[in-house]
Amino acid sequence: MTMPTRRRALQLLVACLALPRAASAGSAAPPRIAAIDWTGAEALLALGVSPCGVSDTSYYRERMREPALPPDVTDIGPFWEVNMELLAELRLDLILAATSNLISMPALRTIATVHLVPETVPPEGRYALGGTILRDVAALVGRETEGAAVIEAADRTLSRHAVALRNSERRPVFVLLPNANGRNAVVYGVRSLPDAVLARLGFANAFAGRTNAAGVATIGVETLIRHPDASILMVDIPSARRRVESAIARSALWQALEPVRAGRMGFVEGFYPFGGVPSALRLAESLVRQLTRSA
Amino acid sequence: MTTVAQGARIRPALGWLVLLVAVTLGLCWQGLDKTLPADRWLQALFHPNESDPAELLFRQSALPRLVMSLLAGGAFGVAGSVFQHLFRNPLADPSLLGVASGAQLALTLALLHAPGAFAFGPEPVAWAGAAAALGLVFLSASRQGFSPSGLVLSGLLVNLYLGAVAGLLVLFNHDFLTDLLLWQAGSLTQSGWSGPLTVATRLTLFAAFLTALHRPMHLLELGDASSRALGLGVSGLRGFLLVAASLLVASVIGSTGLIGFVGLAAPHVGRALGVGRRAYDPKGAALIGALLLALVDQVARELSALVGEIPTGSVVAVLAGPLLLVLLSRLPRERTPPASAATARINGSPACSLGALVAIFLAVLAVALCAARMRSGWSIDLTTQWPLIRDWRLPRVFAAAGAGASLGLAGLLLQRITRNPLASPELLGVSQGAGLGLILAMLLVPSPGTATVLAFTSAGGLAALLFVLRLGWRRDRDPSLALLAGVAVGGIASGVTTFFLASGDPRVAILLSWFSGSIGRVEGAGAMALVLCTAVGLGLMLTQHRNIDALAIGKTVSASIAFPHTSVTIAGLVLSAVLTAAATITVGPLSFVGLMAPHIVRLMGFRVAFAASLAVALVGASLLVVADWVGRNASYPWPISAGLLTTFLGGPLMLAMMLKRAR
Repeated sequence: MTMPTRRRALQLLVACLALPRAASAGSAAPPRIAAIDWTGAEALLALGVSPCGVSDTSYYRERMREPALPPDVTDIGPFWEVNMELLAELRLDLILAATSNLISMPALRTIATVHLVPETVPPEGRYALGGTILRDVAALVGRETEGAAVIEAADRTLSRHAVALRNSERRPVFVLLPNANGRNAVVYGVRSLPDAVLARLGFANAFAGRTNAAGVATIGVETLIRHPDASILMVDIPSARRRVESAIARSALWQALEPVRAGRMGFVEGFYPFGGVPSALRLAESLVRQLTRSA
Repeated sequence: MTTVAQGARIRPALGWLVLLVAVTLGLCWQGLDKTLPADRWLQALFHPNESDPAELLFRQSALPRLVMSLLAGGAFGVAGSVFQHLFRNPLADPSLLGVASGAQLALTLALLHAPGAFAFGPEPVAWAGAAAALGLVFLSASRQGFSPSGLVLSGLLVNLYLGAVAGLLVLFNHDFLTDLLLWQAGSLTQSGWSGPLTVATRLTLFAAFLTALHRPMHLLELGDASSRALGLGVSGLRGFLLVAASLLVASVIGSTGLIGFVGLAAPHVGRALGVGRRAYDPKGAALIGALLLALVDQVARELSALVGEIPTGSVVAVLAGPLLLVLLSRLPRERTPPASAATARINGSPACSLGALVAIFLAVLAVALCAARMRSGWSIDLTTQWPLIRDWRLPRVFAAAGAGASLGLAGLLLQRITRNPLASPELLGVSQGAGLGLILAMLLVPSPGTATVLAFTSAGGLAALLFVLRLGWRRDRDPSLALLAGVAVGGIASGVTTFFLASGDPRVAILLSWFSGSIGRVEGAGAMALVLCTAVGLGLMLTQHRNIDALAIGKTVSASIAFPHTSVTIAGLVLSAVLTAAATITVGPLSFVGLMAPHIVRLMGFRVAFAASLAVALVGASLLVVADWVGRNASYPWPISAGLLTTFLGGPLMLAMMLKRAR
């Protein structure tokens, strides 16, 4: 089997990715930035810039392990209502936010310059948006070269993943989050991160139906029945996993699904669906693990 | 004979009933036929071919879903009928006694912290939650001998309380947002027969109880005193049936999630269509409930083909609302809701003086402005921190005070006008309308600014309001109808909202936070405008205090002493609507204050409108300022929304006062 060596190769690639930003960290006096938008925070960290405040830091650390958030970053409250007094106390130069943050807290503009992180998904998909975000944030903090390096390294990593997967069966893949009663699922469709990463890996997204602005749709299990040739990958939420598994085991409909019967069903690690390039890389790794397993 | 006369009255409605049945059956047939051609149905049922996907869908998905919609609708309908009969209140709903919120909270808690509790499915968890909520309601209502208004109030209180806790849990666990929200939205999708089977057995059992208790139930129509005189144990019967109906509802929503409105709408629709000739007709309500939910579910299924899966619960709310509105005009005139103590006694001196309330308010204001947690810890520094306080803390505190006062005043007016202890600002549909406006702003405008958001929320709130006032204002100008119309309009708006919430959009949390009523985003100008608006409203009420007091004498007497009852009522409704809109647009919907502040003031002993208006403004303002202060500091830097906190702070206070007075 080639699997162990493949895994080691992946680890090496990740290490390569981490290298340029470690080298460039701490060059000039950094601007004081707070990131309400996690994608913005992720981009900053990937560029080697540490923000002084991020929304909901403990959940960020849990959810976005890599690149890690330094321990001294201040928690500025949840993204739906950050603490304005605290932000004012931080004497910020810049706030990275999403449009919706400004809707809920228009007064942000009186605290510091608000930079809106790009969020319109281009026709090329969500991965391209990740690149745009990274370049955008890099230009903001004057780290264009680092930004380009990060994107280039990520592109290389994804291409190698695709090459490594070229011998496996190219079945369409559902990436979904089943409801705890097993009757509905949130499925990732066009314009979602899984869709973009699957495309990069050379796989088709089995769900091509209508989605909302966030690229997801809620479907009943019966939708899955129309795609007997697909594989099903479920997002793993540890505390809900047992319920999901027992609901699926008890449901005649689930058990009749061809992918379930053929064992083409697995769990992928939880990912941040609205993330940029670093999130895409993490998702790619866990997808690759599952796709090589089920192939 | 009466049948002849009734037959003549019923005939046009019968046409509607036939149409309802025909449309429902047609849609069901079409839906099933699309899954599997009709000529293969029998074969699929009796000689199933396990590997044929179309047959599988027919047998394990489409058919159970249809059956589930009929059963769940029947269960909601019959429970709603029983509730409305027992409470003698046309606004009574199976979720009224905390059943739905209790079940919801238990399921949420179990999902987040004890997944093992689901070993036997969601039903026992939902039951436990519903039973606990019911126990709380009964505990507080028992001292009033389970009188309808006492029960309704206690139920409302517990509902708000549990809803607030569940809201917090949802907000703090975004990983589960879609799951929890989808459950809240109510979905009838099935993947097998376990759901329909569960509901079927529970419904059969309940129907058996109800049949056995047929005679005593009808006796209740005579009123408590007469029933008692005839030897009926009124409290026992009421208590038993309420528990049974609540458990039935908990079973259904444990399986489908929250589907509101059917229980409220079915008895009314049934009566309007002439299915039930009497006010109390559980069979008719069950039939209509089943038909309604099946129809709505089929419509949801048809729509799903166009825009992606739509939770049935939100379609129920959107469709049942207009249906209820149309049928309001056909509704036989309801008994006037029981006159509450709010209007029963006007004399009597207050237990605490207005001066004391002013002092409390000022003290609260001072603490809220000076003391706060900051980056370095607690700070009571007014001088060096002044710029921060001026720019950020002052507008917040003012907005809190303004919103609390205006909602309190609006609630006081509404309760006086309608003489219904349930009357509260959010029943006018303003909050939901404004929320709908906010969603539209987020969906339609790429990056809406403050002015856009304000314009959309104001327009939404006012549109809902005008609609309610216009529709509720027909037929004998009964103010309760305005409230019922408000419930319907609010339902429509919240249906759309829930759909948006359950769609998995990342902006959901922002909307949720707005809906929980949060003051953190207020700007100086908005706060000032709100305070100004409140001051004008209070001034109006103080100058018109005699007219407000005179509302209590009722319409019939008013005419004989030339008191302009109708104009005063209209003016009062408009004023309360404007006050509600002002508060809602600035800080989001805060349901508890408008409902409870007038009750607290009444329990304190303020009866005369002049003193009561001042007191309610002070109590409302103090409540909200305290809530905002606690919310800012309790889990710094995280906010806990003031709307949730007023429920925590005011709830126990209210409960204690109710118990004390009832003794």
